[in-house]
Amino acid sequence: MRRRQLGTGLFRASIWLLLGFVLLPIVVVVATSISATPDVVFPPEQLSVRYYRAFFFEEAKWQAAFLNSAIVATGTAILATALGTAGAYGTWTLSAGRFRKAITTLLVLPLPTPLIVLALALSVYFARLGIRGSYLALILGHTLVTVPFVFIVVRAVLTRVDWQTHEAARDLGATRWQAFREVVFPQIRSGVIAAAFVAAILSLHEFLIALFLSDFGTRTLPVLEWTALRNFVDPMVSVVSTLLILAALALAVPVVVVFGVDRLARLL
Amino acid sequence: MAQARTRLAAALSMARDRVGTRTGLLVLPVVGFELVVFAGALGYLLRMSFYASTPDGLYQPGTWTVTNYTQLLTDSYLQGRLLFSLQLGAVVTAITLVVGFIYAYAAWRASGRFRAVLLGAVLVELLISIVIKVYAWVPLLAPNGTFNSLLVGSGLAESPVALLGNGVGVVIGLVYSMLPYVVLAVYAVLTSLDWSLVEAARDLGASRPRSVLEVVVPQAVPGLLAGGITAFSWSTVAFAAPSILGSPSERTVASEAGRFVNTTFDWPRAAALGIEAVVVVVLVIGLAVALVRRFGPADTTEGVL
Repeated sequence: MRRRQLGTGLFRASIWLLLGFVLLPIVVVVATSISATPDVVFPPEQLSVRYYRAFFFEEAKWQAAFLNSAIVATGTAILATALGTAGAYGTWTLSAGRFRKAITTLLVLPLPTPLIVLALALSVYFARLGIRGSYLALILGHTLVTVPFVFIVVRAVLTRVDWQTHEAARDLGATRWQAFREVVFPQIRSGVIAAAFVAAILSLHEFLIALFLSDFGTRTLPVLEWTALRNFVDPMVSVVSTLLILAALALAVPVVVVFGVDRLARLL
Repeated sequence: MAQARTRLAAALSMARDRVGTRTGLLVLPVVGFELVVFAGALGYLLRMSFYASTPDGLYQPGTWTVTNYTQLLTDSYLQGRLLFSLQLGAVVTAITLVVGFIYAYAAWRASGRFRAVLLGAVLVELLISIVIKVYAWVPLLAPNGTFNSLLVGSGLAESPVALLGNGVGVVIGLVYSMLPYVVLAVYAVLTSLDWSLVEAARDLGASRPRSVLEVVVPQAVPGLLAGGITAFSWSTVAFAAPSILGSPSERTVASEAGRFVNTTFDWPRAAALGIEAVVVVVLVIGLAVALVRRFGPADTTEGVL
């Protein structure tokens, strides 16, 4: 009996330790961002918001990267959501069979492909097409890696649609487009918006593809963080990281509201 | 139950008919996108790997050669990098599978609020940029960092232990980055597992660790396999962690391919190296799946590959 209690206690302790392992780096990033000294130490010795002030009012290169990130994330969210939602609705209406399976496989295939290979391939391909370094290249690259998520999320939402309402609308003379717009879309709207937010978060935080496809003028925040880190450790990286984490959390709130933590954990 | 399911299937297929197959044309834009961007880029990478490289820029148009591949196979430095990459992937995958299983099991057994905390933590981590995840370990692992202050301060170590700029730092950073994928893959499988099976094993006298090892782990194999594939295929070609947490001796094939593209502008070589890496990783994963299929519990590889 005592041995079992000891075992349970050890198990509990290891779970708290693991939870600490997952959360500690996030705490470190946030804590070091409000450090008063230029050396990054955890826990910080003195607190100040001077690096936040520098980010918002002084450092032009960080602000330019912030703008680049916002442009690319917005473009990606729009393009990936449009493509992924149409694809999910389209595959939903295809009859089950080889053809539908092939299309589903094609749509999720970029997911298991190593990012470095995608980055290499897109890099030489877009250079050949003459768009490497442009916002378009970044948006296309990020859309490639976010479409599978949009597709999966919207497909999950479509299973909850009450298709009898669609049938009723059609019986009453609605065209397919009207039935979709007036009857189906209202039922999946929150899910589609959630998918767009997921795409925006993934784009904001994506690093490798952005590193290979951007140039000096279009580099995003993670790329500039990387560049900064190659020289020396800089509290500004903590500030930007904290802001990126906060942005992800803010954008994730509506997603969690729509799906709930447990369903999301099984979906992704 | 079975009847209800047939009725549901019939209703769904009727709904599909009513929506109309023409709506199926909606897949065209995204299929076109995947063909142009995804297949186009990978196809061009394959083509690029057969161009002859030139000393003064990128590649020689119009050439076909296999020297990029033959050079790779005879280059002992690059072969060493490939071997190191595979070792790194194997070590990271093994650790992440053990840690991830314990975490997922705990989340599965936890009650409402604590489960939400455990899952929420890995979901948040999943969203965070790899650069941030790797960077956060620098102040923790540095020679004068948090862990070394604790180690030296508590007398466990006499002088700071090297945790940064070597394999230890890289493995920690990669295990941390891969953990959410394994946890979520295993958790998804565990949610469909019947707890009463474990209770039955315990009623029959199995100890707690044994009931988990012999009942839960075999059932979790599909999740472990899926999470393990992700962890292995990504950590083998890790790019950010070796650069920030390691030293030049922790460079992976991905680091080398990145150097060829962005620094020496030898694109055909970069392409050949990238393709070699994918082929090797796919072969290793295929071998792992075949082994699990042969020796593992039945029907656990359904849907994988």
